[in-house]
Amino acid sequence: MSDYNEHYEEDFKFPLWELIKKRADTKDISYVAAIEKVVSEYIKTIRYRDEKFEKECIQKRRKEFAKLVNKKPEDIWGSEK
Amino acid sequence: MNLNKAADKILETDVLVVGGGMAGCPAAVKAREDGLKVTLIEKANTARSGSAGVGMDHYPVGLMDYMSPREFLANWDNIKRETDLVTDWADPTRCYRLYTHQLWSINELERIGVPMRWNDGELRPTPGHGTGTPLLRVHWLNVKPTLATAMRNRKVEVLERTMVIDLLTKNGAVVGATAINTRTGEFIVIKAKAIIIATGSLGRCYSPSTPTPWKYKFLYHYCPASMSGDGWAAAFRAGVEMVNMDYTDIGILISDELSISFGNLVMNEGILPKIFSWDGQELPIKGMPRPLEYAELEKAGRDPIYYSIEHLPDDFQKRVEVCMADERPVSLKMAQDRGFNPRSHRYVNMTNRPFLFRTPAGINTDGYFKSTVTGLYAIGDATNGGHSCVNAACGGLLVGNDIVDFVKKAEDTEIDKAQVEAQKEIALAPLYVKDGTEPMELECAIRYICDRYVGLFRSEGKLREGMRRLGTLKRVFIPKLMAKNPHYLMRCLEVRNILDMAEVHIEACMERKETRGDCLRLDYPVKAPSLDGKLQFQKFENGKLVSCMRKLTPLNIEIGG
Amino acid sequence: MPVKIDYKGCIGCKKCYDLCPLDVFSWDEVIGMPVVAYDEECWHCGICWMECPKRAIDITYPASNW
Repeated sequence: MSDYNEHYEEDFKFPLWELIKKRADTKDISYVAAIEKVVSEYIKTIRYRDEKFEKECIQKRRKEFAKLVNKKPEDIWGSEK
Repeated sequence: MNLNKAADKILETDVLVVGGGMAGCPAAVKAREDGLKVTLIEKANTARSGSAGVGMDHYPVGLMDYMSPREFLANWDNIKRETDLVTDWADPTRCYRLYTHQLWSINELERIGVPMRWNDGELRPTPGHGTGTPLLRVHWLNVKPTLATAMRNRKVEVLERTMVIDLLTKNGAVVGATAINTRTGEFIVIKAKAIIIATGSLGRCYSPSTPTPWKYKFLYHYCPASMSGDGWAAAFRAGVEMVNMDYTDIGILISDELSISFGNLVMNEGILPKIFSWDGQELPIKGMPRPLEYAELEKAGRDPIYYSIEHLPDDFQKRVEVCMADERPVSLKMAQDRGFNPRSHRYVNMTNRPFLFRTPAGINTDGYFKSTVTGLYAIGDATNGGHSCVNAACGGLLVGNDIVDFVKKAEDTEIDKAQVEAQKEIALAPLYVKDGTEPMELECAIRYICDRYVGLFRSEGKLREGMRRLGTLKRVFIPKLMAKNPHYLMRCLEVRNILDMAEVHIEACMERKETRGDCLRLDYPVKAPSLDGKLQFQKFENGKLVSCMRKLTPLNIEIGG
Repeated sequence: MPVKIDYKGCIGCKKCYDLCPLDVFSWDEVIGMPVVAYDEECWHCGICWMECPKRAIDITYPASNW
C-alpha cells in the first residue's frame, strides 16, 4: 500500500443524490420534497422483492467470512429457518 | 403565596409527556385517543426532534402478535438473540408485552398515518445487521412531521421549545412539573395526574465520537446532541430509581462518520461489511471490535482499522443510497463533497469509546413502564431495555393505552407552591449571574472527567479521582453558571442534568466490582458469580446516592396476551 | 462555518428557525430572515438544509473534523 490515497477520496457522484438535486433544482423545491418523489422512482430499479437474489448475495458474503474465521456459516448465523 | 405570581403560565392536564420523539409522540396520540387531556413538552420541535428527527430507515421489528408466556420463557435465549426488545436487562413482563405487540405496533402506527408499507402495498422485512435478525425497512424521512401532524389533528396540547426543569411531587407521587420556554424564558407550571418521561438517553457526559478539536462541541453522531438526560435527571431528583447506569454503549470513533448514515454502514441490508487493518488485511471481526479486541489490535500496531462495503453488488450499493436518503440525506451530500465513495472508500475507525447509555441503563420501570414513583412512567431510551424505535414506539403506544386506568383513579392533588419556588430559583439563577462560567465550559470539564477517569477501562483509583473532581465542579461551578438569554439558560439546565447523571454514572461504575459484558474493571477482571442475574439500582434518598444489586421480578406467566 | 444562509434566495418562511433541533438560529425581525446565532452548536444534521424550500442553506463540514 504505497499509495496513501488508495481507498481514500475521489471525485464521484451518487446517482441518487444527482437525481434528487436535479429534481429539486428543476421544480424549485426543498430537498425533502424532491427526495420523496425521486426515491419512490429509484426503488423501482432495485431488486428489493427478489428474495432469491438477496439470499444469494447475503449467503455468498457469509461463506467468505466463515472461511476467514475457519468456521461454518451455520455455526455463526445458525441454520436457515 | 399565589402560584400565579410564581409562574408565567399554569397548565393543567391528565397526562404530561416529557419529550416528543419516537416514544413520546405515539404515547401522546394514543392517550389522547382514549379521551384524556394530553400535554407534550418538547425542547426542540416535534416535527424534527429526537433520534428520528432527520429520518429513519428501519423499524427493527418482527411480525409476532402472540405467544404464550410459557412458550416465551421457554424460548427466551433464542428470542433474546433475535431482538433487543427482549433482554436480560429489562423487566421480563415488559419484554414479553413488547415482543407480543410487535405486529400490533405496526398496525397502530399505520393507523395513525406512519407509512409502514412500500408503494406495492407490502411490508418489507429484511435481514438486518448481517445477523439474520428481522427488521422492517421503512421510508421514514418524514416520520416526525407525520407524528407531529397526528398529534395536532387529535388536539394534543404540544408546547414546542419547552424544556422540563423538575418534577413536582407529593407523598411519593408526581403531581406535575416545572418547565421553561427556551426562547421566551417563560416559567411554566404544569399540573398533571401522570407523567411519561420520553426524553431519550444521554451522551453528553462523554466527548462526541466525532473528534471536536475546535469549537464545534455538539458533533454527536448516533443520537441527537439535544439529548442531555433532562428527563432522567428530573426524575432522579424526584426520587426515581435508575438502573445499570454504568452501562454505556461502545461507539466507534470514526473520522469519516459524518459522511455516512447513522447506522447504515453496519446494517447495509444484510451483507456483512469487511473490516481491514491499515495494511489491507481483512480482519476476522464481525460487526465491530469489542474494546479489548481493539486494544489488542492497537498494541500490535494493526490500527487504524477500516470499514468497507466495496464488495456490495451494484444493487446493494443503490440500497445503501436509499437508506441514506431515508435516514440522513445530508450524508449523501457530505460523502460526495468529501469524496467518500462507498464503492471504494474505507471508513477509518480510530478507536472505541463510550457513548450514549444503552440497553441496560435508564429509569427502572416494571412490566407496565411504571417507575418507582407513583404516576411516573418512562418509555423509549429513557427507560432500560431495548434501544430502538420499536422499543420507543411500541412502548409509547402501550403506555398511551394503559395510562387511562391510572388517570381515572388518580386523586386530585394540590401543587406545593414552595416546591415550585425552590425549583424556579435554582433554574433561573444563571440569568442573574454576571462574569460567571459559560455552560459549555463546565460541560467540557464534565466530559473530560468521564473520558479520562471513567472511559472504557475502569479502575478504583481513576473512578475515585473522577468522582472527587466532579464533586468539586458541582460545588464550585454550578453556582457560577451564567446565561445571558433563555437559549443559554437551556444549556445551563442541560449541564446541571448532565452533571447529576455523570455522578450517578461514576457511582454505578464504582459499585460494580466485577467485569461483566462491556463494563470493564481492570482491577476486577472477572465476573462475580454472586451478581449473576442481578441489576444495579441507584436512587437519591435522604440527600444521598444509594446503590443496591438485586434481581428483577420474574415474568408472571398468568399474564394475558 | 457549518451553516450558511444565502440571503438572496431566502424567502423568510421560518422553517429553519422553527425546526432546528439545537435552536442555533435566531430570527431577525428587521430583515425578516434567520441568523445563525449559535453556529458552534450546530451538529450538522442537515434538517435546515433539506427543509429549506429555496435550498438557500448550505452546510459544510468544518476543517477540524476532516
